Amino acid sequence: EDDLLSERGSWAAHPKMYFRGYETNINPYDPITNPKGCIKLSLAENTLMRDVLLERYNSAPPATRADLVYSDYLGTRSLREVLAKNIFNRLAKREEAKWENIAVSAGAGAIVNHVLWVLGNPGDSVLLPSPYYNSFSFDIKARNDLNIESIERRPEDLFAISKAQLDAAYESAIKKGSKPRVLLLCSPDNPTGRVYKKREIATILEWCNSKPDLHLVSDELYAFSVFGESEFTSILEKVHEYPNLASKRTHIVWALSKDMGASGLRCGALFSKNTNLLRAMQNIGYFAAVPNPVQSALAYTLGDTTFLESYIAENKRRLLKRYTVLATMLSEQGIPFVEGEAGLFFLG
Amino acid sequence: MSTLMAACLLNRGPARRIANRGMVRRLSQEVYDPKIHAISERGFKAPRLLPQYLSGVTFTAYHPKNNPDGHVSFAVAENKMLEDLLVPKYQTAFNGFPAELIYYQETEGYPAFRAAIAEFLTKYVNKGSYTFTPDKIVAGAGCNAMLDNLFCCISEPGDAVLLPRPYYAVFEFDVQCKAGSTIVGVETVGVQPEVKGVERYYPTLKGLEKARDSALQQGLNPKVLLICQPNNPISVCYPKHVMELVWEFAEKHGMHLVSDEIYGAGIHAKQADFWSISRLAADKGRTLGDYVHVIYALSKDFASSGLRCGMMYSENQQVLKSMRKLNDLCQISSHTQWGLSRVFSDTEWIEDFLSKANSRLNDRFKLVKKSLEPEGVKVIEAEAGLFCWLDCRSWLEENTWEAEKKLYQQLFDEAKVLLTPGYSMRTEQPGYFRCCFATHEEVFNEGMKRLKDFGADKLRIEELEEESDDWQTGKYGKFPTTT
Repeated sequence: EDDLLSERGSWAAHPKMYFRGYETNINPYDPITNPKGCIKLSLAENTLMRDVLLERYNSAPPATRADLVYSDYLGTRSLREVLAKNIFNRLAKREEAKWENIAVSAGAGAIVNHVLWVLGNPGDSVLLPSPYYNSFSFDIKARNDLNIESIERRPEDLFAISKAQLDAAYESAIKKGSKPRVLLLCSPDNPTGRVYKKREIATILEWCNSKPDLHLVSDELYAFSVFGESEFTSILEKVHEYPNLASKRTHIVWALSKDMGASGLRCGALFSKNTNLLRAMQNIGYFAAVPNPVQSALAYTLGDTTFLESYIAENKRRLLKRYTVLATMLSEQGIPFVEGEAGLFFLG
Repeated sequence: MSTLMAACLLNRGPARRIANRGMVRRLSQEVYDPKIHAISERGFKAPRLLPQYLSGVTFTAYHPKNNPDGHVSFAVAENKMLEDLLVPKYQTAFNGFPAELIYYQETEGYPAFRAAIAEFLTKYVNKGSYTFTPDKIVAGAGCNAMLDNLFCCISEPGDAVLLPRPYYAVFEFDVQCKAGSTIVGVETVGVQPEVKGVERYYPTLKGLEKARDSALQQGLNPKVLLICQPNNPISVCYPKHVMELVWEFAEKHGMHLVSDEIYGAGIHAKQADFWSISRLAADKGRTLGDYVHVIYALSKDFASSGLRCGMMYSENQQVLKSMRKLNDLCQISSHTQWGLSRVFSDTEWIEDFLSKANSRLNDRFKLVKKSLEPEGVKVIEAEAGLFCWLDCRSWLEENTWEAEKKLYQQLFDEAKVLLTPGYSMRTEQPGYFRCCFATHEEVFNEGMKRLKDFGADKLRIEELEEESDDWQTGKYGKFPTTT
């Protein structure tokens, strides 16, 4: 049975744990060969922009001898510069990020797992708004010995977050004898497809600021997939109003999997100003590094702001178009759903 | 600064001054304070688990034109002699990345890549005696990532991992940092003082029992026996009887056996006979079973440490299930796996590449011998890997650890050469150094010249007697504290 494995090994192998990745298609749909097959709508992948992305990615300069050897485990300098300038400063809407603030790793899941390992001591809690992305459970808990404390959001509130809900989760963790260490946000939100309102962002920042031992990790990997009416406010846009929170306790995650539809490439990034955190991330980044040639090609891909602007605009257009088709159909069928504004999904 | 950090910094270009960016501070002197550091204790301690013998030190890398006064580092196990073969091949192989691969792949690795690796390992690591199959392979972001996850699976935090000394220093980090296991070194030389030659470094039943008892006395559960075969830093292949011994020992005590065979296709000495644990299994007419796991990576034999490709092989279905899930947190980019599957499918190219690579390594090793033996350094006959083991005891002022540390410092300050000092690899006698010789040619030549000059200047001490009695740790003085 499982007796050859450790406890944490058995947990990781537990069949109920959802894991991202390729699932064997038992009966995949094909319009010609298998029209009665199964269509998978359960995996958040963006296939709409792959022609645009690949054209750019595949025209990157080829690998060089420098790509062969060990490099910095915070990522290559060129990629970190591009990410700081073109991604995180775009989120911040100001000159907030320098290349030194960026850590690159093999996907958002790897980043989240490592950041929480660094921030949380064994037994600490991660506050997480529910309902939440299924795989967060694995990303948070695997190898980390951390607990999840749900921040209950309600459909009748359209899944909004209030101070009362934050307090309730915080107190609940403490009652269980666990120190609440991190507030983990997914913004824009998975699975509701919602964009947090400006006032909610203000509430969250105010609240985090009032808890001097708490870190805020904002996973913003749908930031450029906002197709609805609401304007997206990154945590990075507002956090500078709270200097202590900004300098040591706020960390932003972004990755290529969703906004850029490149989930197979396995590349995510962290922004932080906490030098101790970055040093630790450099150290354990060794366990989940991105191949150098891929980093170079991505630095090239994301390096042109003209390309990026037009990509983001086109992505939104295609997402909205696709969303509208489905939303219209559901309305016509009388099937209720939560109106989506961002991401690749919404709640039915 | 660890060998890893050194590697990171050295690759930023030969002439660039390496600024003290805080990473090179004396890390071990800081004390954890949650109020100041704002991260967890384990996050704070992690960088301090790396070998500290270079901490507090800055240097720039030698370059014949741009930085002739720079330091020559023979301290990082990287192979820079194969760029002419690899770069053109990778450039073609990675070209034309197909659309369907841009999405999520199987967490355990792209099937064509695993299939190609399985065939490769079968052909080169055990000469076809044992067939590796792709379904038992999990491919992730480097050998270290596979070790980290494997140890999470098969051991609890605090369990003991037995590891023959001397050993690759960064194992302490790989195994202890996140997995939280504790390495208990297995004495080799010390428990068989009458044995001469390279056999001194083979693990023995006596040494294994002693280490196991020591673990138990410390209240640790001895869960895993880890070996590096071919061995780092001794650079030889453990013979069949040693592999039999370690397997028997592990089985007897219900321990897992992890055979890190990362140099398994880099056997460059013609006379070497490589006994992968897989070959031993086949020889005995048995399977590997649930307790044996093999590790491999492309960082050494394929000089591709920058591609971050490691793999674990096991017949244990529970371990595989767990490793597949955990691999979600350290997958190799689909583009890289796809490109590599094309490289490995070109079996002719692989055959030619390995033949050239091993030939170059062997030639380079012979040059080390030729350069250093006249200066009083004894060099163990290397069989595999990117380095060799130097007996520099004739260069010590006295037979103590302090003298070894002083010699290391002199080599750095005067000769401007970095060698990995034995104490950082937990040797049992002072005076030994590891030399990673697979640098660029001009760097190698300059380094050998500097070492020869240094040796010629050094006062030669009479050849030290290898005393066979009174083998106590206190005999060589205090083990150097980390700086």
